[in-house]
Amino acid sequence: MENPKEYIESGILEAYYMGSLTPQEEAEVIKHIRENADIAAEAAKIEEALEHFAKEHATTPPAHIEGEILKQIKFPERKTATQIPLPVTPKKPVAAIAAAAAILIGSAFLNIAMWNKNKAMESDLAELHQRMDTLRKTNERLTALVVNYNKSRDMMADEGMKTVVMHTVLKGHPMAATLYISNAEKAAYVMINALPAPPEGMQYQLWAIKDGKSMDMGMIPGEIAGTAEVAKIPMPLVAGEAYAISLEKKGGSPSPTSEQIYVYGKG
Amino acid sequence: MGIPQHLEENELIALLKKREQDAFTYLYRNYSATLYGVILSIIINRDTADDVLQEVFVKIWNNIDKYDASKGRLYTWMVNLTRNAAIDKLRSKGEILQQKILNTDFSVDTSGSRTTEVPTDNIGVRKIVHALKPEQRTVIELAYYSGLTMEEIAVQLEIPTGTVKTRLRAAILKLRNSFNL
Repeated sequence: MENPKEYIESGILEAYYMGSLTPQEEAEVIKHIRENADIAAEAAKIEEALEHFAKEHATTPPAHIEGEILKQIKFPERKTATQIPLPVTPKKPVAAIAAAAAILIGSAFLNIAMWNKNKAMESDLAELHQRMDTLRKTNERLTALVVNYNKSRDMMADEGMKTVVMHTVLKGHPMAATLYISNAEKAAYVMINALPAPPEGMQYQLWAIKDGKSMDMGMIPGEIAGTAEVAKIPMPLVAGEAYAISLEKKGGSPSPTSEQIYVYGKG
Repeated sequence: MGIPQHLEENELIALLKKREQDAFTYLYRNYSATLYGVILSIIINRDTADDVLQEVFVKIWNNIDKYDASKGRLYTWMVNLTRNAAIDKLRSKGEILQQKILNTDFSVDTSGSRTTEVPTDNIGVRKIVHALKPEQRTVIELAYYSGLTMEEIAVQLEIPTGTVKTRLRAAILKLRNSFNL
C-alpha cells in the first residue's frame, strides 16, 4: 500500500465520513483503518470533528415529535412488565349529566341518521314502483300487440275473409291500411297500423266506392292509428270496386274531401 | 429499566438492539437536537424538517441491526442517515439546492433564508464555515449538504477527483483547528 501519510493527506478519510464514497472505496478505507494505527488515529479525529460540527447545529425539535415517533414504533411487549391497574374514579354527577347529554345528543344524531336512511329507502322504493309500473305498461302494450297480430293473422288465414290492402295516394307519404271483409258475417274490420295519428278534431273515415260513387262506411277510432289493432266497421259493408280512407273533421263528412284521401285500394 | 442518565455508545447500541424502549427514549433525548439541526441545515421548511426527523428516528429504530460499529461511530451512522433522508426529501420535493449553492455565494445564502429560519443555533457553525476559503466551502456544501459523491463534485466543478478530496481535507482540518482536534 502507499504510505500512510500520503493516504491521509489524500482526503479520502474525510470523504469516507461524509458518506461520499462508493461501497468499494468504503471497504478499502475500512480495511486501511483496521490495519494501520496512524490512519485509525487520524480517522477518529475526523469523525470527532464532524460530530462536533453536527452538534454545533443542534436545535431542539418541537416537543410533540417524540410522541409522534413513539406512535410509529412498535416496541416488543415485555414479559416482566406489570399491568398498571387503571384508576377507578367515582362517578360525579357532572360526569353523569355529561354522559346523559352525550347519549341524548348521540341519540338525536342517530335519529337524524336513521331518518335520512329511511328517506333514502323511501325514495328507492318509489323509484322501484315507478320502474315496475313502466314494465307493467310495456308488458300490457306488448300483450295487446300480440293479441291483435294474432287476430289479424287469423283473419288473413280465414278463407271466408277477403283482404284489401289500401296504399298511399300521397306521394312521399308511405301509408297503408288493411280492410278485412268477412262475407259470412257481413262484417268488416280495418287496421290502420301504417297511418299517422289523426290531428286534434279530425278522424279517419272509411269509404266504399261503387259505380264511381263514395259511400260512407263509418268512422275509424283515432286511437288505433299506428297500432296493429283492428276495429270493426260500424256500418254493414257495401261491396265496392274500391275502398279508401280519408281524413275528415270529427264525426265525418257526407262525401270524402278529395285532397284528404290518404289510402286507396281496389277491392 | 428506567431511562439511563448516561450510556456509552456501545451500551446504548446493545440496548437498542435488545429493543428496549428506554434506550430509544435515551437515544431521542440525547441525539434528536443534533439530528434536527442537521436536517435544518438542509431543509428550510420546519414542517418538512419535522417529518424528516420522525422518519429518521423510525429508520434508526428499524435498522439498528444494520449498524456496523466497524464502519464508524453510531453518531456518524446516524448523522449520515439523517443527511441522506433530508437530501432525499429535498430532491423528492423538487427543490434544487445544488443550483442555489452553485449560483449564490454561500455567505449570501446563509444570511438570507436559512439564518432567518435558524437564527441563533447555527451562528457558531456558520462562523466556522465562513472562515473557510470559498473553494473549501463549496466542496463542504456539495458533499455535506447536497450529498454528492466525490466524482459528482469533480464533474460539477470541473476539477480532478483528487483535488476535491484535498480541498475537503483542508476544509475539515480548519474545522478541526477550531475544535482543537
